Amino acid sequence: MSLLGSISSINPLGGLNKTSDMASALQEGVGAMIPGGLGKTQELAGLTQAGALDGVSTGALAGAGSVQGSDSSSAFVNFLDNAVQEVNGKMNAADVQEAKMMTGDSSNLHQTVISMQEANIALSLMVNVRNKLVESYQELMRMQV
Amino acid sequence: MDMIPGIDVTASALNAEKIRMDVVAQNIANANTTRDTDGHAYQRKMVSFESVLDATGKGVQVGRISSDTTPGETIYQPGHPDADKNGMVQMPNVHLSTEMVDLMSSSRAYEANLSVARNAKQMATKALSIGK
Repeated sequence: MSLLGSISSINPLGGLNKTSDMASALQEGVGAMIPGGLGKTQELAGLTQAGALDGVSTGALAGAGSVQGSDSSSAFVNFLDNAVQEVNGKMNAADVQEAKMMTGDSSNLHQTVISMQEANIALSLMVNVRNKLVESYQELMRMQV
Repeated sequence: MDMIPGIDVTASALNAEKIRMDVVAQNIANANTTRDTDGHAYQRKMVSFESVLDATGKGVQVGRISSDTTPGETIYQPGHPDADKNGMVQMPNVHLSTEMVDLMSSSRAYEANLSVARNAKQMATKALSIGK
């Protein structure tokens, strides 16, 4: 199934050059999961809310979930897109710091380590978001028709 | 978005303490420098911190690095290349005891900020485990 294929193609271990692919795959994956039905949209937003996206402002998610109408799906997709861009930004920053340290440019050892740690946590968060999405999708598919 | 709580503020404090330690190292290294780049004896440098409003809170930055203007002692040593016509040599106003206390204070502050960073990182990692 193409939907499952697009979700499984989100491999966060694939490296930085795949982050934009990740973003578009997430976007079309989530967009396909929400076929425009209002009830399903709210349910999906509710499921992922219960999935506890920690560290990310759940206020934004609550806002996206409570918006009535077909805006919900695009708000959620935008939120995910922003999250992915943020992770990419943090990993790039960590790389820059590491390069500077290796060439002897920067003398701030603690800054380098802090950037690496932040990038690590951002990536873990991204992996957890993906896991929750897949879980919610599977939950939805289990519904009897 | 701050992944690790308060990390930007802590990073600025670590920067500031590192600069303070650099200045202490410079003072100690130049404790016997009788001729600075301006021709006079080395004057001890002092660091003053000021707080700066960050996105997540009040960070620290080095306000300015100023010279301590109290004169050092003058020693009678006529053979010294930097002696004036009376044979007196102006020595730097660096006192090793003061510098060592500054060094200890600065390194303890650095360690305190490090443990804040470490605990904040642990908190963020534990928070991620809620979703697992």
